[in-house]
Amino acid sequence: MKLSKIVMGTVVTIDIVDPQVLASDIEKVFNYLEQVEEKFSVFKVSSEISRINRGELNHENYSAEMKEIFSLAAKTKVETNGYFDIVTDKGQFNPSGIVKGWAISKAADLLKVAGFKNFYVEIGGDIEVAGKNSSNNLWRVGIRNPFDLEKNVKILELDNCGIATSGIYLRGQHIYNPHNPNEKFSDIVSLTVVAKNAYEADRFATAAFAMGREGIVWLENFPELEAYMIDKNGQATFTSGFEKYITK
Amino acid sequence: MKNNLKKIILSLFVIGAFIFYAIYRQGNFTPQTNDKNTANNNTPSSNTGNKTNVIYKDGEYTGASFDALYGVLQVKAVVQGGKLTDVIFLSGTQEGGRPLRGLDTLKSEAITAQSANVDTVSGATNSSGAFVSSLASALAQATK
Repeated sequence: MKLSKIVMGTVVTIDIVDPQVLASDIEKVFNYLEQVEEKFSVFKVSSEISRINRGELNHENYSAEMKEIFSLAAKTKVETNGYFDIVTDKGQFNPSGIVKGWAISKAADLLKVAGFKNFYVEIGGDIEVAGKNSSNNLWRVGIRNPFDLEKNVKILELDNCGIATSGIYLRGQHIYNPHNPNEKFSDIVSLTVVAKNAYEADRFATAAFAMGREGIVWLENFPELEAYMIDKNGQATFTSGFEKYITK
Repeated sequence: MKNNLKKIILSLFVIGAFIFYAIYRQGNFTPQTNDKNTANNNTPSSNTGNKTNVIYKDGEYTGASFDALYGVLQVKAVVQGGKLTDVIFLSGTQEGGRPLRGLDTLKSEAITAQSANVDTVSGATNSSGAFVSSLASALAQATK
């Protein structure tokens, strides 16, 4: 059963292959993601993050999930040499860059606890897959062609992992470099990371994209990550272990 | 810190450009100085042989080491017959001393379209206002 819904300002799709699935199983996850949005959306004045940004909450009064996100963001900032930072150039907290991947992994965990083994969860182009697809094969995941959004440039076969793409082709230049907020990312248009889950894939894709052309070199140093980068000329550069995912 | 990073990025860019030329010219690299006079020079080709070509002196040249984003990087340039024929990575270690993977192990290709069926697609966030509005209206029709 595959259902989509607009949550967190984008499209969330959940596809569960296990035969016992009911629509209510998927709706429970949508509800959870709506709660996440209520808490973390910087666009909602009533959200906890907006209250924090207005100085209405002290750190000790943050919710447990907010504390978790702040802790993960601090860890990620260190691991990415400062390229991932939830503090914007205006001094506000914007955890969007970490919440999406985290929420996908949380949603996948909820489905696993509910007994599902074969599914994927997608939020706005970032995905976590588990088990097999409806044909009992590995999940087939395309990497969207940044120059022709109807097409894919690669088709990957994945199971039990996360995949995330950072790019500039759909939302303008929505990622900024904390070391140089005014820097434009015109050279690299798409960077896809495959990792053990969507949380890892998303945060490393976001940070590496902010590094520009050096991002793929940096990613090559993590044996547990593989990545595929596309530049503005349509030239791709990919990590040494990436080909194992490509459909033959 | 910002200045350091600028230096690092600039250094890497220079090194990267050097390597790019080395590979694409396959040893036939003959650098020219950037001479404005030659840029506007429409004289016949018989004159071009005497332009301001810079010939490198043969030998091996070790560059300074730079603190790259992922560790320390140092290269050696090899010049033979006045041309850059090789670039050797002398050092490349991550913090903690693990050997550097990177530059020399990455692979490259021109992208091509694949049209086979997929279960789902990974791409940059599809959340432009127009996209979501359009989808919302489509879904509204779908629920009628």
